[in-house]
Amino acid sequence: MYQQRAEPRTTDLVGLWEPEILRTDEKVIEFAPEPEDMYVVLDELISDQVRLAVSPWPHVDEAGRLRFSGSGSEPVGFGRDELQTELDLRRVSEGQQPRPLRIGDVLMVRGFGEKTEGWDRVLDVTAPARKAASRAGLRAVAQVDESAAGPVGAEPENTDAEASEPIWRRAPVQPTPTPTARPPAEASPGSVSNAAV
Amino acid sequence: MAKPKPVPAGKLDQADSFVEHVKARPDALVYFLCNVGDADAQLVLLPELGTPAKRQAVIVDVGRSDKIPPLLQSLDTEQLLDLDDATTDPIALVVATHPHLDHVRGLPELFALHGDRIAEYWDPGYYHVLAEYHQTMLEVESRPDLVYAQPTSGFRRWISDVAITVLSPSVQLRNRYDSYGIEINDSSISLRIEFPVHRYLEDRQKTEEGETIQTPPTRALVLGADAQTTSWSYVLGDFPFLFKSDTPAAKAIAAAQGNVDLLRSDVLKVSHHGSKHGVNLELVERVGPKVTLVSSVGEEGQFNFPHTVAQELIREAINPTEGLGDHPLDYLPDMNLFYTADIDTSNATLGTIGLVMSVDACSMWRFGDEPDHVVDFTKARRWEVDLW
Repeated sequence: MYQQRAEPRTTDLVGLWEPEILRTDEKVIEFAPEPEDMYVVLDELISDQVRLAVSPWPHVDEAGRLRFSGSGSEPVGFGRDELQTELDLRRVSEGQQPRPLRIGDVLMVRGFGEKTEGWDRVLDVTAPARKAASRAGLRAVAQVDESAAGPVGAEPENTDAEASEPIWRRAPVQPTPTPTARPPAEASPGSVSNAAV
Repeated sequence: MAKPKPVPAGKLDQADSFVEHVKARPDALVYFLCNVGDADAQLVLLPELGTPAKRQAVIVDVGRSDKIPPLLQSLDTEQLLDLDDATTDPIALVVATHPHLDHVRGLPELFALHGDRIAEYWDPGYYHVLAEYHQTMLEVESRPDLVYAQPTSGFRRWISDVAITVLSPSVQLRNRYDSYGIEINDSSISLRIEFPVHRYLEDRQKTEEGETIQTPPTRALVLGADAQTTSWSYVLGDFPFLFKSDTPAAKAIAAAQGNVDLLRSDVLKVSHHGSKHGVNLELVERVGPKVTLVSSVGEEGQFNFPHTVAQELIREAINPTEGLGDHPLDYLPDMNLFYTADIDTSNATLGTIGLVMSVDACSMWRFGDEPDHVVDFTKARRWEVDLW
C-alpha cells in the first residue's frame, strides 16, 4: 500500500500547556494553568455577533503538540461590543495591548461563563496559540525533524541546512542494480529533419 | 432575514421507500445535505461501480459529531454502503472545506470511528487555532497511509464514475494565507461534482475528418462551502466563460472552450448558509441551478442566516423580474429553492435533504430530522414531482 508519510512518533503528555505570554513591555506574564481553565477561540465574527469556541485548556506532549480532550469545542455566542469592551479592560489590566477583535484570537479564561462579569482572569494567548497551530499543520504532513525543534513558542534555532533536512524527504536506499552489458551501437542513419543527430 | 415560507404538506408523500428507490437506481448519485442548523454536513454516495457493484462515500464537512457517523451506519445497515469492505475504501474522500467550528466539529470523532476506512483527506491548508484543528491534524499524522492534500482551484480528481473539480480557493488566495490577510471563509474548498464521466472510444476516422465527438450527458452539483465574495471573484476568473455572439471571433472562442460553461450545474448548495457575503447574482446566473439548497436554521440563528438580500438575489438569478417589481418572498414551487430548516404547513420539520440524481431523473426526499436527530430512512417523504 502507498504510504504518504513516515510512521508517527508516539509521545507522552508532559502537563498542561504553559505558553510564554508577554506584556507590551516584553516582560513575561506569570501564568500557571489550572485544569479548569478554558481555551477560548474567536471562531467567527459577523457584523455585531461573535462565536466563541470553548474547550478545556490543552495539555502539551513531548513533541510540543497541543493535546485537547476528546470533547472538542462548544460554540458560545457573544455580542461584539460587549466582548470588545471586556477584553480591552482585561488586556490593559494584564499589561497587554488592547486591539480590535479578530477571528483566530485565543484567550485563556479562568472561570468561564456565558457572562463576562464572572470571568476571573483573561489572558490573550493568541501569539503562542497561532505558532502551535502552524506547527500542528506542518508536523502532521511534513514530519519535521523533532531533534531540531524547540519548545512551543520558542523561535527555531538557526541550524545548518543539512542537519535540519526533514527525514521524510530522503528517498529510501535502494540496492544499485548491476548494469547489463549493452550491445554495440549500430551506425545511426541520422534524423530526417536534422541529419546531424 | 426572511424565514422560509412553509412548504405545502401535500407535496410530500411517505408512500415510497427511500432505500428501495436508491437500490433500484444503481446509476444514481445520492446527495445528502444534512440538517445541522447553522453548519454544514454533506454526504455524497457515489454511483455503483465494479464487480460486485458497490458504492463509495464522499463526505464534505461534518458539522457536528452525531449526524454523519449514524448516517454512515444506516447506509451500511441498509446495504447501500459496505463499511467493512476490505477491497475498496468505503469512504473515498473526506473534505474539510475550512476549519471553522461549524464545519469541522465532529471531524476528529469521524476519524476516530472510521479513519481506517477513509482513503483521502483534503483541507484548504489554512491553519486555525481551534481544538478540532489540532485534533484532526493529530489524526492525519497518526495515519501515514491516508492521502492528504491541500487542493486549489482547477485541481480535478476522478473517483469511481465521478469527476470532482476544485473551484476554490484560488491558488492566488492560497499563497496569501499565512497572515490575517485572507479571511478564513475565503479559504473554503468549493467543489463541482460531475457524473457520470464514462470513458469513451474515439472513432479516429470521424474525428480526423472534423466530426464532433459526442460525449454522454452528465449532471453536476456545486457545493459552495463558505466561500465569500472575494473567493467567488477568483472563481469567476479561474473558470471563465464568454457568452457567444454571432461574430466569427466569438464563435471561435466559444468553440475552443467546447461551448461549456465550467460552472454550469444542476444543483447549487449555496455557500455560507445563505449569508449575504457568500453568494452573488453573477455566480448564481453562471451556475444556473435547477435546484438550489441552503443549509441554515430558520430564524433563530445567531447570525440571522439566511440573509434576505441573499434570498432575493437567488430568486432574481433563477427567475429574473427584469424590472417588473419586487419579488414576493412567498414559497415559489417552480424555483426549487429549499432549506434544511424548511417546515411544512402542518409545522412538521422537513430536515435533511436527499437527492437521488441520475441523468434522466432527480427525486428529492426529506427525512424530518432536527439538527440533533439522526437521519431515519423510514421517515423519508418524497417530493411529489421529480426535480428533472
